[in-house]
Amino acid sequence: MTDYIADLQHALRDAAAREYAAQTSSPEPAEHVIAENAQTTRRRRPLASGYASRRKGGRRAARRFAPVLTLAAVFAAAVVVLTGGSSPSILSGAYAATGTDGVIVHYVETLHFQNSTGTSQGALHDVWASGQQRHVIVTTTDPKRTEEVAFNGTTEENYLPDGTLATYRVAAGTLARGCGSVGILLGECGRGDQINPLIALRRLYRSGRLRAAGQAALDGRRVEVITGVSQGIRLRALVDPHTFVPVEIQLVQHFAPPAAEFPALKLTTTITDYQRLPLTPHNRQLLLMRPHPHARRLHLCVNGTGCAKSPTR
Amino acid sequence: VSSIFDPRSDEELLVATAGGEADAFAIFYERHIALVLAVMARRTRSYELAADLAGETFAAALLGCRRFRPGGPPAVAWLLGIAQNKLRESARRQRVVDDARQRLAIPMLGLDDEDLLRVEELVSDHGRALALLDDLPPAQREAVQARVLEDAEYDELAARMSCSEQVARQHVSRGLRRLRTQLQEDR
Repeated sequence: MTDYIADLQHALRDAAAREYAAQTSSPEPAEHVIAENAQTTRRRRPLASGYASRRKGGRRAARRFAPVLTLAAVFAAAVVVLTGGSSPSILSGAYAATGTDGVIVHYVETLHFQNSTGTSQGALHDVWASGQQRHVIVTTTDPKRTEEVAFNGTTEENYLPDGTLATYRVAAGTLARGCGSVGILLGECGRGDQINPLIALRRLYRSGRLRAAGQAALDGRRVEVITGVSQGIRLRALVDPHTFVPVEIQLVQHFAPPAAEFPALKLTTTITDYQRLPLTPHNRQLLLMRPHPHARRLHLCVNGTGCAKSPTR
Repeated sequence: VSSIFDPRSDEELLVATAGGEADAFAIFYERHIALVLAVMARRTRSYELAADLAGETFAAALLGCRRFRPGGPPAVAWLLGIAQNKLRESARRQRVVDDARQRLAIPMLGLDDEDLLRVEELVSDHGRALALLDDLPPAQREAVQARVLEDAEYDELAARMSCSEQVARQHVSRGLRRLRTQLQEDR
């Protein structure tokens, strides 16, 4: 992020803080704040010749734009392809190929946790997803156990190794913060929690932080490389050069220790075996889990309305 | 520290902003600055004007977030409505309006070459910045684009789409609903 975009963000954040503070005193900004901000306005550097034609007459003329706008309105409905930028077809193709609306996507997600003391732990998720529905089979390596989880938008079900089927009712849209029982379904349970690489790719794309980074070979196959970076996040995706379907996505997250006595944590999540399946009645079954009919049932609630009783475990 | 990976929805961020959480608005800005820049650049065909107008749009959004009501059209549509108003008002006054920035005492930031390159980069990939719309079915995309981005009246939209006003309204409504669903899926 270069200066203007970041400076504007900081200015807006400061203004939001002032605005809130001002509501408890005066609705107008204090004069000293205006004076202070005026001093921080950056001086414009000279333009390179490449931009001269775009900025004829300098800022004052540029800000008189009604004729430009009127002319531009004629073109507004058309797709305006401006020059520059990096390989939009690869990036937008990868974005389109990772949406789960109207299809079922299936992938294997390998998680590797490593803390600063050298200890590591792993887990394997076999995931079927469509829209807000998820069905995940979780296998952890240490301790070795398997758990099955499904979420249909309002209810999360966990089929636990002891044969228990726990049903969590979750108020719409709150699972991301409530976490359900194990918090794996949406890939993020709150700030600082693990993020699903597919969601990361899509958010990085929408915020303009994804970059096409050339080509590479994977198992003798040519793939396009896409990278993206955000705070504490580094993503590298390999996509098919023709369909843009992900071949592999690797997301590295660094977590600061919550307190001095805890180690820092690095989580590497790798997605492989990515498939897009049509949303047929037969395939819809993949979104459901089928616990043993005699599984002991627990009904719990998280963050929710309509809960019968408090969590029992 | 703000992050595009904050799990809260846009609507929740605006409510948090109205409640005094300044960082929430910084996150909202970060999520949608590319979209607003792309819309402004498409309409003005100028990166510098786009940058100025985007700043004014977000300032107005900050001032207006107390009036935002969750449960209606998605926050991104609300934001684009503000952008549209700023474009129209600027055209009427024949200059980039800066009322909201003045009220908030936000200085007019200068742009240098590097900034313009960054703005160009953000808006040059039309598909990237307007990806949310690109995901919509064609009729809904056309309707939302015309109504939200171009401020077309429903009768004009109906004529353009060769359908009744009621059908045009349905396309817009369904498109906006679908936008919200897509945003929730990506949370």
